[in-house]
Parts: sequence; structure tokens; C-alpha cells
Amino acid sequence: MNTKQFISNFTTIVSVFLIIQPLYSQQVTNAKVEFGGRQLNGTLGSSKFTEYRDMSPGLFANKFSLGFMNGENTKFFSLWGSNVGQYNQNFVAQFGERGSFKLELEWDQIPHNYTNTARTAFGGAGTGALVMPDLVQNKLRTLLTTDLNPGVSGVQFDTLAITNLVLGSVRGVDIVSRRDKGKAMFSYSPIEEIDIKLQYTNERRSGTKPLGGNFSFNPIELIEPTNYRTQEAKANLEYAIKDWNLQLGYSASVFDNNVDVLVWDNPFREIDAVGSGSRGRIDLYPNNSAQNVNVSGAGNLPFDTRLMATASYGWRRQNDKFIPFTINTAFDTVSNFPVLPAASLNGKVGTTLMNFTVVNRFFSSLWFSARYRFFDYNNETPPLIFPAYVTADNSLTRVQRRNAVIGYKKVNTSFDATLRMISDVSLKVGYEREDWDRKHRDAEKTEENIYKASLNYTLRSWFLLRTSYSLGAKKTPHYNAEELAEEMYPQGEPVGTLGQLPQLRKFDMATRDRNKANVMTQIMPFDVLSFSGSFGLTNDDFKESQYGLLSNKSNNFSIDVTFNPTYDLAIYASYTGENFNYAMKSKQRSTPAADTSGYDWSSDLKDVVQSFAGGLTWSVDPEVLDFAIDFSYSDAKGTIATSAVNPILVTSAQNYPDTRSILRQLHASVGYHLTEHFTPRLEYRFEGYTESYFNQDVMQPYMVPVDPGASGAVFLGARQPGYSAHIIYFVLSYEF
Amino acid sequence: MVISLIKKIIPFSMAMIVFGMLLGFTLPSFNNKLVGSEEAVERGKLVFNKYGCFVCHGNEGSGGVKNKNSSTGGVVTALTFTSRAFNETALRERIIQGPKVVVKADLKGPTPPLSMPNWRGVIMDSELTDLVVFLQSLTPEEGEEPKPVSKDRPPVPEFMLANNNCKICHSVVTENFKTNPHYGGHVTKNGDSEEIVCATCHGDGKNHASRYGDPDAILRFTKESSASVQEKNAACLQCHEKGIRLYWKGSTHESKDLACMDCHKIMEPASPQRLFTKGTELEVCFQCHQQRKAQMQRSSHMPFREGKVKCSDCHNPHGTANEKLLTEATVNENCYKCHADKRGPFLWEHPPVAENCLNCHDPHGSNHEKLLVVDRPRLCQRCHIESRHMTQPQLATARFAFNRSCQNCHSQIHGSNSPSGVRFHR
Repeated sequence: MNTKQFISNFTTIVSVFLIIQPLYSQQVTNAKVEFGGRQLNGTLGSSKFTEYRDMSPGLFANKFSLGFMNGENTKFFSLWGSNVGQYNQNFVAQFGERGSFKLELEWDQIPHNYTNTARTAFGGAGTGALVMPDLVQNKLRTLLTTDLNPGVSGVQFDTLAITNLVLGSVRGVDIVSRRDKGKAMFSYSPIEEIDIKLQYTNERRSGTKPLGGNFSFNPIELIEPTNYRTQEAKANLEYAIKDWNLQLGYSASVFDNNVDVLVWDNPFREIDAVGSGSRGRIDLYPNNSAQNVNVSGAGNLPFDTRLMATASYGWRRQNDKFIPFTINTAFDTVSNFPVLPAASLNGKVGTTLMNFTVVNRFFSSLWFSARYRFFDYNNETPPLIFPAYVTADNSLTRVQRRNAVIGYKKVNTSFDATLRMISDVSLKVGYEREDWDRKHRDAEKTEENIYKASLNYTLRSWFLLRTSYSLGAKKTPHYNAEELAEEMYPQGEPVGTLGQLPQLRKFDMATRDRNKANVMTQIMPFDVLSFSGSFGLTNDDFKESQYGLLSNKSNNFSIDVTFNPTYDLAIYASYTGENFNYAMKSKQRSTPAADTSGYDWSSDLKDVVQSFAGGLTWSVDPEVLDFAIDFSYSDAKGTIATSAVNPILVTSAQNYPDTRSILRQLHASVGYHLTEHFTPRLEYRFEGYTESYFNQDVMQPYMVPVDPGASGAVFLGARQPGYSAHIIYFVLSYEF
Repeated sequence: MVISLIKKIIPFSMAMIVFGMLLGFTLPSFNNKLVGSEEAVERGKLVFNKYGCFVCHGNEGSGGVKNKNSSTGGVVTALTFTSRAFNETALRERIIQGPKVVVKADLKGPTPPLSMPNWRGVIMDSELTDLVVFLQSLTPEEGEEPKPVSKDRPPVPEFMLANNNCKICHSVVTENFKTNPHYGGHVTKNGDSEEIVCATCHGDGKNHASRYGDPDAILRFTKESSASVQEKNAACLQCHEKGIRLYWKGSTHESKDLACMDCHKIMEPASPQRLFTKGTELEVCFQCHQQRKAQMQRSSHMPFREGKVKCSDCHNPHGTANEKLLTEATVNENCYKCHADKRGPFLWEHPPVAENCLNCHDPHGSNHEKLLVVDRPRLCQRCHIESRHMTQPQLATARFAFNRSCQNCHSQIHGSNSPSGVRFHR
């Protein structure tokens, strides 16, 4: 924020304060303003540093809050804001009368800085048309098709010349988007028993983001324009009397994408041909809408029984006009070119939710609860048969395809009993059954039995223990790996196609045993010292899966210590360790003859994350000087180890380089209470981020030096490299 | 400069004191003791007991009643040296006006519960005179110890046992309550609408008062309270078992014996909104959900730590009709609140995407880009063993692995509405 903006914003805040106060209220309940300046130093060029925030140097208005009430303390007006005048600013205003009504207005902005290392040869970033000079396209095509060494099989093109031409044609572009959201909420209670709530939000998301595009096996990385508007309206009515209440609700959400398609030039071809398009076209996310009506209610029944119930029905619609099969004009002359079976999808989904929960506490030492929940995702979208399609705006694939109208029903039934024989101790045992009934997925039905137990112990102020364990056994009675293909190929899969591996079990539908345990404790042996710790593990064993995900195991451990030797001093430290392990198995497949176990390969994926944090707050002199310092360190390491039964047959079964990301943060502040209301504060913040990702670090606009097969591919070279930032803040805080 | 000034002032001051002592000066006496008749002292004692001063100040002003976080050592001060601190006029003023604030030992800590009320218009002038005489009689002579005090306390005066008299001992706390959102609210009890007062939540204070302020004789919400979690929560639920708390009973947090006050602090909340025990909602949740706190620091994260997303955007900690305390019926419907672009329905659906975003993403934070649970291409290869390039392990240097891996080409992986988008290329 520049000085002019700062003065403007500061003046606005003060003006609002001065205008509203006499108009509305008789007393100020709170007022706080923080403003100041910051200076930055270090390697700050990474978009990661400003991924979701505005960290411009110079003057800034950090936050403010103003609260007024009338003399009887019945009416209120509050206004607060943060990051005023910056891209991540937020304002909230509330106005109302206690027990009667409240109006809240909010304005919020969230920037999303994807990358600032991107380079592109396309013009028109941010629009639906990415264009490249024909001359460049022509030169690139010529270079790519000119064989420097005809004696060797394949085209031996001039890699260096192409690289130089691509790098010479690209220019830097920041890929950034932002959400601007306005929200209005009104609640009104005409009588004590009735509450009415209305809410409306309007969010605009604008900017750009990276997107993949392709011609055959040649990725062309694009800049997608985002110009979305999402509007949401909600209305709720609640009637509550002693022992009973009823809620009625309606919600509607409408999404509009103001850019329907993204068209881009093929960097390596300026003239359309069957088999090689000069342009590509992606259908961007279609406009859609969703509505929902719901009824909820609860009642206290005899014998200390409470019934809670919800029924809701939602409907989604999507009926954007279909775009043609291709933008490649060379297909205009192709005979028997397919015709679209419909102008649009007329996509419809109905969702139904019913939930009934009953709790009984007739016995003070034995509580029961039972629950039935039904959710239906009923897809009423019509199935359409497409006689053919154009693959990547290049080639016509004359294979009939039908859209799979997937849907599912999910039913959960549970029962549990809690024993409270001893004061402060509760032991709970329970059983839950989960049934899925899917349409057009490999496993039509799955059934899971889950057995649960938990123990809680609270010993007044100094000891707390919460433990839980569950064992889930999911069964898949029948699995058909070809179910989806059977639905999507009305005339069967083309001859010679291998189809899905019959032994594959997709993890979300596979037979699985799940062991899950959690322990959490808080101990305060002395008023000045407290510990808290937790341990959790989840082990998923896909015991009938021969291929696909075989196991998924994770555990975590945390400990947190706080020491308050005096009222004025607090010292704290924490550690969290996390482990994630996945084991999967696959098979390299090409022809029926080579579809043997000799082509099997496996991969073990492991993530280890360690996080430390600590700090100290010290009111050196509570009325004069305070000091705080804290730090955090998070280190995440990922390994992907891959091996093959026969490494000679599966040559690419090799370990990936380890990935690693480390975030270090240090923050120190000193506040001097100049007067009761006025506190200047000096702060220092350090943030250091380093990362090493094999799949990102190598990225350049032209990747042939890394992957010789990527000759017809162009990328953005988009990365989010590490950064190191030293930030000094001087903040003046005025409060009364 | 300041230090040099101090260096000059201290020796000068010390020199002046020594000089004064040599001249025979003595330090001034601060004893403003007013000598009154024994009858006046007795009458003053009766006044002291009549107005229940002993409830907070102890028998015959001996002090020692706990007053957490008060700057006077966490107890109400004794009155045995009153005459050294106040002359008659100041003492009279102090009694009828009360102190404006009770100074906290820790400025960020809670307001001390006990504070002197304002007796103006309540105590008669003649009573005040006698009370002052009595209080000043408590001050021992120079070099003497205070008189021993009887342990038998007189009964608490009847007026202190009446309804809505909490402000007699808790004047500052009750005054502060006027800015609380609960102030001025109403609650329906036995069919009648009643204004919210202290007893609405803490229960009838008669026992508490008659037992000289015994904290266990009233419903307290602190961890030191002898009340069970259920008893504490019942006080809140008498009004709040509706709205977003409809499903509290039987919910995950209720069955783990969480008290409302584990997250909320009614009297002096740490947050500007929602009466939280901590400054922000994230801090409240992270008291127990420590792994989520660690996940927030991952390279790939939603803007939690930037303060733009909070737990209650997706979860309702008070219980819902949905799994994992989600506010919406499914995981996906939660995600669509911010990502309505991916809602569809699409012509070409990617079934695991349409069914559950968590099949591929961990919304709480990940060390893999796009909040993915594992790196691509392995993410996709968990399910795709059809044939050709997708079944090859792929070298790290291949375009099938680097950058967005599979999504370098299959970019419309969340669903496509293009007639040629069956493979999510378009």
C-alpha cells in the first residue's frame, strides 16, 4: 500500500468512526486501531511467500475494531477490519438489537498467487483465447520436422534451435487469482420462540491459473482464465418451544463461469490437418446450480429420550450448451463426421438425506444412542450415446461412448451404550453398519461392520484422558473391474483392448480392515505446568487386493508442554511427528501376450513430517512492557520407492528422488505501553521456506533436455521456489 | 540519558535522607486513627455485620477471603490497618463509593470475582460514622499485633440472600456483564419468559451466599468446579439446544465429555466474536486437534494460517446429521461451497471425484501439491491399470511424471462437459 492509499484508508476509518458514533450510539464499548509500517529483506521473489496474502512493504493499516452500544446496552453497532487497503483485506459490520435482530455485512478478499516463474509464448493470458504468432508456429513446425540426420530412424531435429526459439518467444507472466466475497446476513427474532435467518453471498473469482492442454502426447501448458461468480442464498426459520423445535431451510447456489471455453494455438502447427490440429479447445467448467430444502426437528420425549431428525432434498442442474467435437476445421470435410446426440446434457442430480438420532438417558449411569442415516445421490442425467469423438482436436476415434450416470446410496446404522458407573469416567461401546449401493461402479455393494469403544476420564482440573478404538471390516461381495467400461462402451471395448486388470481392487470399494486408535491426554500436575499429548493411528489393510492400493498406514504423535512460573511469564513447546505409508502394486501392460506377472511392479510411498514449535510470552512489567517470541519448524520428507519383479522388462521402475519441504518461522515482538491506551510495538518476523520436488524443480518452458519425448510439448516452467524473508514491523496500537 | 539521570537522582536522594536523619527528622506517621467511644465501636461492629462486610473482608475485617488474580495477593485485603491508609474522610468516601476497579495481578488474566460495592444511599450517615470508628479501632497500636478474631462468623444478613443480589459482592463482574451478548436476553422457564441474570446459568445463589460465598455452593464453569461436565453443559443447553446445536446430544464432542466452557468463555472471552477461550477459532480447535495444527504448516495448504479459512467453515463442532461433524450432507457438498465450479453434474464424470474429494485430497494440508494425499502419477496409478502409458511406473524425468504429471494432458480430471472429453483432455 502506498502512502496515498494509506492516508485515504486511515481517513476513511476515522470518518466512519466519527460519523457513526454520534448518530447511533451513546457509548463506545471498544475501539482499537493498529497501523504502522513494515520493511522486508531477503529472497522474496517466490510466489510462495505471498501465496494467500499481501506483504507489500511500506505503510499499512493492520486492523481496527469499533464497538458502540446505546445507554441501555440493548442496541449495538460493531465494525472491524483487517489488512485494510491490501489484497487480503476484510471488513465486517454488525448492527442490531439484542434479542431482536442483527444485520451483518462482510467483505473479504483472498488472493491466490500460484506462481511468478511462469513464462509463456501465448498472448491473451486471462482471456479465452491464447494466441501465438503464426511466424513462431511456422518456425517451430519447420524445426521440429526437419531431419538433421536422415540416416537415423525418426526425425533428428535441432533441439537447441527449438529450445532457443521457445525461450526467445516466451515472456514472464504472474499467475494470480483473487476471490472477492460480499456477504449479508440478517437474523430476526420477532418473538422468543421464532428465529429467522437470511443470508446472501456473492463471490467473484477472477484471474488466472495454470492448466494442462495437449495434442496427443504433447502437453501444452496453458493459462486458464478464471472469471467465476458464485451466488448463494439461504433462508432458515426455526420455531422452538420447551422440549421441541422445528427448523425449515432453503438454500440456493448458482455458479456462473463467464468464460466458456479456452482456445489455444498449437505452437508447432499453424494449419489444421486431420491428425494434427492448429488449435485446441477445452470446455471450461460449466454453469451449474444447486438448491436444497430441509426440515430438521428435535423433541424431548418421555423417559429422558431425545429424538433428532433431519430430512432434506436437493437438486442440481447443469445444462450448458455442448461445444462441437473439435475446433479443428480439417474435420469439416470428413464424411460421416459424428453428430452430437443432444444440444446439452440436461444434467440432473437429486440428493436425499434422512437422519434420525435417538438418545436415551433414563438411567443416569447408562446412556444409549441410536442413529439411522440414509443418503441418496440419485443421478437423473440422461445417458447419451456419442457415435465417436475427436481425441485432443487431432484424430477422430470412431468408437461409441456413453456417459456413465453414476449414483449411490449410503446407509449408516449405529447403536452405542455409554456406562458411567464411576464419576468422571465414561466407557462407551458401539456398533455401526455402513452399506453402499453404487451404480456403474466396480463394486455395486459394499458393507462394513464397525466396532467401537472409547474411554474418557476427567479428574477435575488436573487430568483428562480420552481414548478411542474402532475396528472396521469392509466386505465387497462382488467386484467387476469392467463395470464402468461395460456401461461406457455400448458396443463393447475395441478389439485388442486389454481393459481393466481383473485383479485390481480400487481402494474406495475394496474389501478392507481398518484399525483406528486415538489417545489424548491433558495433565496439569501443578497450576504452573501443563502437558498435553496425543497419539493416533489408522491402519487400512486391503487384504483381498492383489493390485492397486494394498495398505495405507499412518500414525501421529504430539506433545505440548506449557510452563507458567508466574502470572507474567509463559513458556511453551510442542512437537508433532507424523508418518504416512502407502503400499501399492501395479502391472505394466501393453499386449495380451505380455500381460504376465513378469511385468508387475510395486511402489512404497512414505511421508515423514516433523513439526516443532515453542515460544515465550513475558509481561516484563504488565503496565509498561511486554515481550513475546515464538518459533516453528516443519519438515516434511517424501519418498517413493519403486521396484519391479523384472527390472529388465519394466525399466522405468525406479525410485523417485526424495521430496522435501521445510518451513521455519520466528517471530519476536516488544510492546511498550506508552499510556493506558497507546502501545507502540516493534516486531521482527523471519520466514524461511525451502523445497525440493523432483517433479517441479526441473520445469522449464521447453523440456526436451529432460525428456526427449517431449519434443512437441511446451510448459510454463511454473514453480513456487523457496524464500527467505526478514520482516521488521513497527505498529502503533491505540485502544480504549 | 535516562540512566545517567537515574545515576544522579539516586545518590542525591540518599544524601538528602541521611541529612534529614542527622537533623533528627522522623518519617511521618500515617496512622489516622480516630478515637471513638467503645459504644461507637460496638455500634460500628453491628453495622459491619449488618451489611455483611465480613463475608468478603472476613470476621472483624481479618481478610483472607480468596479473590483470584487480585493484585492484593489473590485475597481480599484485611481491614486491620485501615487507619494507616485512610483518614476519616477518605474512608467514608471509600465505603460509600467503592473502588472503581479491582487491580489485576495479571492484566491479561480474569477479573477478580470480588469487588467492593457502592453503599451510597444504602448505609445511613450515622451508621457510616460508627462503621468508620469500628474500622479504625481495628488498627493496632504501634508495635502491637492485631487483636485475635473469633472464628465464629455471624449469619449472613437476610438481604444478601435475596434474588439478584450478586452485585453486592461481585459489582465489577456484574457491571462488565452488561457488554456481554447474553445481557438483556430472555429465557423461558416454566412457561414464563425471564430476563437472563446470574442465576440463569449459575443457579440460585442463596446457598452460595448463606455459606459465606462457598464456591462449591453454586454452579461454576471453571475446571476447578466440582460440577460434572453434564451439569455445566445443562446450564447452557437450557437456551442453546437449538439452531446449530440441535444435534449436540449424542454428538462426537458431547460423547467425549467436552464441556461448552472448554471452547467458550462467557464472562471474559478471549476472542472478539463467539466468546472463545482463545483468540481465534483455530487456537480453540488445536487444543485437542494437534495433528491438524501441524498440517497447517504444510507446503500445500488452504489459507488457514493466513486467517481466511477456519474449521467451522466445514465442521459444526456442536454436532450435525452428517459424518465428521460436517455442515453439509457430504464431503463434496462442503467442498462445493468454495469450489462450485467442480459441482457438475458433468457429461463425463470421474466416479471417485464425484463421490468423495477425499479420495485424492487432504483438505487439512499436505506436503504434496494441490493438497493431494500422495504424489502423482502414483495417485492415479492406485486405480488405473488398464493398459499403455498409465500402467508404466514412469521415470521422474518423463512428462508423465513431472509438472502436473497425468494432468498435464488429462486436465479436466474433475469432470468434463465436452463431447470429446471422455478422457478428460478437453
